Amino acid sequence: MIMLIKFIIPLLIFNYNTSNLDNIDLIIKLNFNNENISLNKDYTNNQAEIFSIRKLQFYISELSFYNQNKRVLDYHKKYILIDIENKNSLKISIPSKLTFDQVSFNLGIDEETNKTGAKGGDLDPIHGMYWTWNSGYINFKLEGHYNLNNEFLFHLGGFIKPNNTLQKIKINVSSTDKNNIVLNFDRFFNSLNFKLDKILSPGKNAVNLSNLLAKSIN
Amino acid sequence: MKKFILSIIIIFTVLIVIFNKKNNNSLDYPSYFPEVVYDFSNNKLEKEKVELGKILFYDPILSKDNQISCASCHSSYNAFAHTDHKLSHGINDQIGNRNAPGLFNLAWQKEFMWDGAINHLDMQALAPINSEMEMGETTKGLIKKMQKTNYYPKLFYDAFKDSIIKTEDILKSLSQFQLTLVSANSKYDSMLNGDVKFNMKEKNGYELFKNNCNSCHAEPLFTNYGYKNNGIIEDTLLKDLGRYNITQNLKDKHLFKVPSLRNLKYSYPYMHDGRMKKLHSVIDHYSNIKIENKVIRLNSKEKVDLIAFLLTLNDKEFTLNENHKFPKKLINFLYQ
Repeated sequence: MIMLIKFIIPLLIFNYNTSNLDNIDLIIKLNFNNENISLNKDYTNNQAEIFSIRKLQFYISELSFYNQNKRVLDYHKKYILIDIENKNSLKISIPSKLTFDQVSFNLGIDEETNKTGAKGGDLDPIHGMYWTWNSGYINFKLEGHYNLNNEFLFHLGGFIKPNNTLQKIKINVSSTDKNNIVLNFDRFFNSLNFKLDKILSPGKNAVNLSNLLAKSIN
Repeated sequence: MKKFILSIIIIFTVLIVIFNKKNNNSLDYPSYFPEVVYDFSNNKLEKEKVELGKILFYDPILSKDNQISCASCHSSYNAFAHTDHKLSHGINDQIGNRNAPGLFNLAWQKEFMWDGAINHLDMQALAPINSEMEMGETTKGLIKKMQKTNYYPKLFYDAFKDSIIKTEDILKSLSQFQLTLVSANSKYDSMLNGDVKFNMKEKNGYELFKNNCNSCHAEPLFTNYGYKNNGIIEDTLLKDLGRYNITQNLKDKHLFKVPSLRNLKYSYPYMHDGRMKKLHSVIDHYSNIKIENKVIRLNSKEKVDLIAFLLTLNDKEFTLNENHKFPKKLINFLYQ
């Protein structure tokens, strides 16, 4: 038995080391009309609505990689706060040898995490992604302007049925573009009713908009 | 000699057992209380953390202008409620829209605030700190201020082995102090323990209570922590819709959390907006209305008896507990 352990432990350590050494960074790309979304830039959607984005932050959680429908890796970080202003938040470090054709994740924070008290790291309420007056994480935060001077603020969250906004996402990864995970916002920005202006609490509007978001990315 | 050594060993063993019990990371509470709902496995009680939580609770640094602490509205002498104020006072002489409730037996409470807006004790403090009507601070601003003091980095190091102050640690230590606020030393508790007997009035009152009030104000915590419409009419200025604000469910309009009936003597005025000053006004209110198809009918003698019983729920020892009072250490920190 002891011999067996002696044999296995170095193997484990060896594997751990090699996987750390041979990691590559995947980049999460947030795209609209086939280009990376930039802050404070004017975009036009197919309803001829002109808009610009000032802030784009959201949570992805339980990121997993699949190859031919078999799960091959659960990402070590359970919750990732994506912030378009923070380039590092868009980097996902995985073993370079990993073969995968699909990724799945949740857009937002699950009910259990929303109900079990103070958390740190990406879940620290200091990041402004937590409603202090009505317990719960903001899953997705988008702020900006449309029609020149009209402000929009979309803070989507809520985990209590029937206003649960958590979205399951599964996307195919292009075989020619293995180093990027592309999240496509085309359908979202093309169908978005900017005149909703503000969604700042859980409810029907938040659910509808998060459904649209999921359809766009999925 | 052998006997001597043996007795020394026995004494030591007993001491170790007692010591371990005290450091058992668990609360001391009566056997007739239900199991706690707070998950201590994520936040084990430790002396340094409880102490830090107490200092945070009493430190006005939590507010933007360094004037208001948690204790401003939650005074230990009033079972951590605020006697005499109908509605809480906040930063810049603002008046809030709810009556500050007493703080005790929080380890048994799942949701907080009159509308249950907060789903975990840890997250509760974020609400007043970040509310423009209460403390007017931001979590980020607070941590920056605390990191610059000459006492918090050390206190956080002592409690969490890290002098870098983090939101999670602030919240968890505040929880720890508040979790230690167990109120279970009223005459009612002594009666259950067999140490005292109720007099005739209290006995009658207890029977009336069990027949009319116990379904919502369930023993021994004297609340079922549910949400109810207790028949008081919406205040035209406050227009408070209660639980509906949180759930957006029409059924929840004008529902408010059932408060505990412990420590009523110290926590007046009553109701979510503090509209009733006297206990007999509350009893009069309930004997005039129909709640959930039930009418509580009490004659004037019965009302007196019911109040006599309710007063057995006052825990004077709790309001005078030295461990709950303003920590002397903090005076040195604030005025050195």
